[in-house]
Amino acid sequence: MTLSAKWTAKAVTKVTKIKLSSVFLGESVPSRFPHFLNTTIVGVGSMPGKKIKIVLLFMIPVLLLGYLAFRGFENSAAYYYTISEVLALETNGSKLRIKGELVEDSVEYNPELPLLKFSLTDGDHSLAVRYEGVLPDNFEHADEVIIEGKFNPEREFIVSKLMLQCPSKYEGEE
Amino acid sequence: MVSTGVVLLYLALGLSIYAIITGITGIKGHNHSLLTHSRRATTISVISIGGAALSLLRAFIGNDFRFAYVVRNSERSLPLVYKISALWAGQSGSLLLWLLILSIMTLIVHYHKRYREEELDTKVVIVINLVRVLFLVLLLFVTSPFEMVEVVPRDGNGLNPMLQSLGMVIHPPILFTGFSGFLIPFAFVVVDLLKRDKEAGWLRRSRPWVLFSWTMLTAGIVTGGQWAYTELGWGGYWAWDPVENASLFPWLTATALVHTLMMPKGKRHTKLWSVVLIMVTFLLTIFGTFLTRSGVLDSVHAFSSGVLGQIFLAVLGIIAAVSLYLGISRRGLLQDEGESADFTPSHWFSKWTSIQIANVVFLLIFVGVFLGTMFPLISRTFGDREIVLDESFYHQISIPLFLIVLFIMGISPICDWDSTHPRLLLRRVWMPGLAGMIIALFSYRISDGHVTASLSFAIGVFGLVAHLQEIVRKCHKRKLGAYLVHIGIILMLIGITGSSVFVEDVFQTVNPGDTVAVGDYVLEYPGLQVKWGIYHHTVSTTLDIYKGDSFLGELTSAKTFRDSQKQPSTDVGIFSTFKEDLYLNLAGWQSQTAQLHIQRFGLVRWIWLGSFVIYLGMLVIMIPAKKRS
Repeated sequence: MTLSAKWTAKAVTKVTKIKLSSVFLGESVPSRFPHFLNTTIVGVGSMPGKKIKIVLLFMIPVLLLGYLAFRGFENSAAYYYTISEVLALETNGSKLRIKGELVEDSVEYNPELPLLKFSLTDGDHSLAVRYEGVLPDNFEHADEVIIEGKFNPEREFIVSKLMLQCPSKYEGEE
Repeated sequence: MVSTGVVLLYLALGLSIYAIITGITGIKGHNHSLLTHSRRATTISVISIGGAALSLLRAFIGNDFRFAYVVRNSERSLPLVYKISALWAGQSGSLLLWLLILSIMTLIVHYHKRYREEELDTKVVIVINLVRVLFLVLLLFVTSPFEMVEVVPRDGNGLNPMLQSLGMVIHPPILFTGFSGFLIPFAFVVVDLLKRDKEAGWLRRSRPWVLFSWTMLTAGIVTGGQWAYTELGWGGYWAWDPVENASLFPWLTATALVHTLMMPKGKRHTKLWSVVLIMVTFLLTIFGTFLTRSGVLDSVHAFSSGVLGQIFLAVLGIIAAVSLYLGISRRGLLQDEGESADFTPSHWFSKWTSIQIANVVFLLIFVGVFLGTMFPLISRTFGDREIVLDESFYHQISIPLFLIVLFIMGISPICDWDSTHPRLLLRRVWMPGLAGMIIALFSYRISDGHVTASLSFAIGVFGLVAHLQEIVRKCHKRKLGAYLVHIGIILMLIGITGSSVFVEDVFQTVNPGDTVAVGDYVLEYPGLQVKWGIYHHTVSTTLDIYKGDSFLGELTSAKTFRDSQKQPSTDVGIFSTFKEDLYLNLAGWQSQTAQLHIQRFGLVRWIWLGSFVIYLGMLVIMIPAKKRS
């Protein structure tokens, strides 16, 4: 006997019906409520009506969160790449996150725009990037720089977020 | 040479272990003299921890650079107040502070009359002492604040300038008080579950501790945000950084817990909800520490010390396993006989239903933010590439859910506990509803059609009017306190919405005499000033603020160059009114030509105002009511 046949046999032995409405409104549904609430859900196997009720009540928040998380994910995900990987990458529109050390003497800062240009290295390769923002106070002495951003069509890497790992001199904040 | 601090910590460790052993044997054998021994041992261990903290403090104040921790976090020229706060500027010192706060709470449990029945205090303190032993072991063997340097330097490295602010003086002690406080309810639950106590006395006993800790946690988060706003210079107070999120996790579950404990007795699932939330909240306070100290996630705040993180993770696993075992093996004790949760229409509008739905939403926000924070780790483990989510993810998740929960909060005061008669509901809802709708239309106009912001303001004002109306209609002390807390939350919502929507950002290069227009204001740039001190020099500018023809005030921003440090530190200038804040950052200069970064944020002050209303409300709740004779 195949598995599906087993399932069918089980379902035939015990079928529980539950009205969607009863989950929210109790057993009787006044006629003025929306039609979809009269949908009947068929439970199979040994699942009693009450359990289905609970499962349905649980599903609402889970689905809500799932939907919100899915929508939130689209624009906010930044993919971690090493500098060597980035250089081998075909230009695409997705947001990248890169960690590296500052290349000495690569920092150029135009305070009037403001525009900050610098290069990061992973030891083997280096990547030049642009950041349209104010030079952070402890920039040149940061141990490690984390950047987030995208390549533009001219294949310049435009940094949208610049983070510095605390200099080792202090233990850290907070 | 061994320092006094280390000796005192060893003493505390020995005594805590002795207190645990005598406590257990004393309870087993009903031996009173052993129990007295246990109590005294705990007391002396607390005193010696206090002594250890004092000796570290003395080292800071007396510039004792034999200690590596003092060298790393202090220097001779540091002002006294920051020499004191430098105690908790680093990792080991903040653990010591945490242990000290926990120890003081231990004494309160021991010597409060309320816990003296049936040796309850000793049982609870055994659980607390186990945690204190862990901290002592960490402080002695993993990350000691009393480590000596081989060559004593003439001066220390100094304190990170960003930590030299009032915010960082008060933020860590407050936050750690909040964190520590959740251990006590956890200990109550563990003790009652272990002895299979049917009365569930922990439910009653936990309440004041949870309320107090929630308040401190809230204050800790708010002061942290305030510090970021005034000190970090990017103009925000919350960046959804892993470390910040770590303090939000227990806050979210604790908020659900506070509401669950406020439910009247005999409701079904109250015990189950409370136990789960108490355990989860305590675990999250430990988890937050793990997250900030393990370096598993990139954070601008993180301490990085691998060993400490692993130890915390192991402890976390043990506590989680014990909690799970206790919860499951004692599940019979957690059944409530009360009414079952039936979502029939007559119960739809009731305080009870709204609390239950709100709790679910709080947990949803928690799960969402938690998954988001852990996503780099999750994607690294289960996928081929690490993926980091930025603020927009957290906004997408939390804004709709917070608006739902705040809407429910607005409805709750006009509902009765079990069910509300539709006629009563209508009578109470029209005024808040009308106010909310007017505000929605108004803010839709002034925010150029920003739907979320209009909705947010409308929900806020709806809740505000609903709460005020019910305070006027009928009120007693505890209700007043709770409603004040709600009103504080609404004020914060208004501030947070305003500061995210009404934003202006100006970057301009100016010469002396130039003006910058921001919003309705005109700022006049007079030039730069340089001041020379003994250990530093400061370049600053003070702008005059005009609105129309009237002079409103000044705005000063400065960069300080300390001799002991290669990099400057920036002080931002903030001009604050209830309508908006002007935020000035001196970005750079060439002779007298300066680059100014000026931002305008709406309604920021309402956030801080709201937090004070919250503390006030909590004070009203916690002050014991006078007994009527």
